[in-house]
Amino acid sequence: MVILITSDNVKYVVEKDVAELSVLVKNMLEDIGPSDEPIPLHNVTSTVFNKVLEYCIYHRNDPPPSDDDEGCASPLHKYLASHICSEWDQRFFDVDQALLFDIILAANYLDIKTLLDDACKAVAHLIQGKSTEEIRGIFNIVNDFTPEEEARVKKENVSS
Amino acid sequence: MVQEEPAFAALLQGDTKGFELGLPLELVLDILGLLDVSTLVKCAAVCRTWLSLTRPRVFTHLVLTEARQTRLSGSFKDVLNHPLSTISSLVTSLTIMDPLDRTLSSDILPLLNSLVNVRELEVKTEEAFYNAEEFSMSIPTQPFRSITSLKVSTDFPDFANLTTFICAFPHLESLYLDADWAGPAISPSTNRPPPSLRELRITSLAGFIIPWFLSALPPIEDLEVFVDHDVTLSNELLRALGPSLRRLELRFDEYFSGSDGSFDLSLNSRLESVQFKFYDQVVASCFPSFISREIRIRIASNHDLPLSIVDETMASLSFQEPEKPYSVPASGDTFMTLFPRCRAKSIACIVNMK
Repeated sequence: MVILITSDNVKYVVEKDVAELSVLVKNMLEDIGPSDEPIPLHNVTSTVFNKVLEYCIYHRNDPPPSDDDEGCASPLHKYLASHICSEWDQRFFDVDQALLFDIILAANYLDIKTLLDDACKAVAHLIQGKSTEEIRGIFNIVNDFTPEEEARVKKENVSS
Repeated sequence: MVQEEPAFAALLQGDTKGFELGLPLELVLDILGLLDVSTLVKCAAVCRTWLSLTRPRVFTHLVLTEARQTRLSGSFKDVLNHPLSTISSLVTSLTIMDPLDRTLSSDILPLLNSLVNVRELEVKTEEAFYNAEEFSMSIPTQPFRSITSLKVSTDFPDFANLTTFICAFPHLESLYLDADWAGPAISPSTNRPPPSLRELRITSLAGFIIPWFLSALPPIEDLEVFVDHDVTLSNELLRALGPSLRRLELRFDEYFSGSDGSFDLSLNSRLESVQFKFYDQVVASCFPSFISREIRIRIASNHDLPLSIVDETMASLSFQEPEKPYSVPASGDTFMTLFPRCRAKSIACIVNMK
């Protein structure tokens, strides 16, 4: 068992194989050697870590991601070729956008590649087919174009 | 259509305004990389930062189809010349298709000289029959002098026009030719093939151009030839290329029969692979090993090409090691009967059926 402490001081006791899905934790465990010392996760709150843990427990027996086709296919091809998210994953990522972005940040910090990839796909799925206005809403972005400039960009878009 | 390119890396150092939710830029790029072009153009209009992030993914390859030329007609100049325009600097690959409505070309083509970073150019006519209209002659060549890759799928008024067009690009490394021309099959020409050429793909009637290449042959490493009824021209080219040739693709169609002659690879001493295609389908891929007197052969299970062509062609290779009494290769002898000529020359064929 491994003891993990989130940034808001919540203590988790996690089975080693689950905890080691995080490359960050795995490396820390190797560094400190056999010890019961708790591992602090400075950048993750318990709210987000609950979700991360749920994902890691569900996916603990998945085969490790392969890097076989790295570089040969375009990102879009990889996306289309990759498995369609399971029903469980779809439900898992059906959360509000703030939490979804927090999961991405946590997966990035903890270095859990599959979770990061899946969460990015969930965001891409969210954007796909949306209008410019809707995308601004999702990412909470202020339009900094003048009306003429925006019209210009849209005009250029027809040549894509 | 979606591809990484150097301008993209420069953008990574740019400002990150617009990501109020604080996703690191590399993660936003990962997400944008998962989107298709139709969504990316929507993202471009989100804000200035997203414009600069998405444009390199959208506009590296510009395909001027008839529909797009219609949409751009009248406004293309405006689109290209505006300060916010990203097309002129980002497009590295350009395809120009011949519109049936010729007035469109006269509208769009003169404006293409503002595309300064094009490296790959394709010109294409959709019409199936010979059509020596002005299209090929109206393509501006001057702005694209530095391209390295050219695909020509259109027809020319005569042979000299075609060679002049090819020679307008002195840095060509790769040339794909599916062109026809009126007048004699080949006529005297002072133009010489670009010496930088390393990849040459010739399909259909363009095979008549081979003598022109032989007049000043660049050291071509990749060659694809469409096998017409007569293999004499192809063989001349193969012999002239000799050891410079590394990869060869032979494309057959239903009109080819084994009695039309066979290929002579005896001088291509550094060949790494030979592919046999029936139309676009790969029938057999052969990888000779000159040191061990072996050929690894991958054969597609469904094919319409007699394997005797493969056997005869591969048996024409000259191996360094002298012939020796045939010995069964380690991986078995199951398919050796398919390649009697290779066997007679004691070349071990290691066959893999898929």
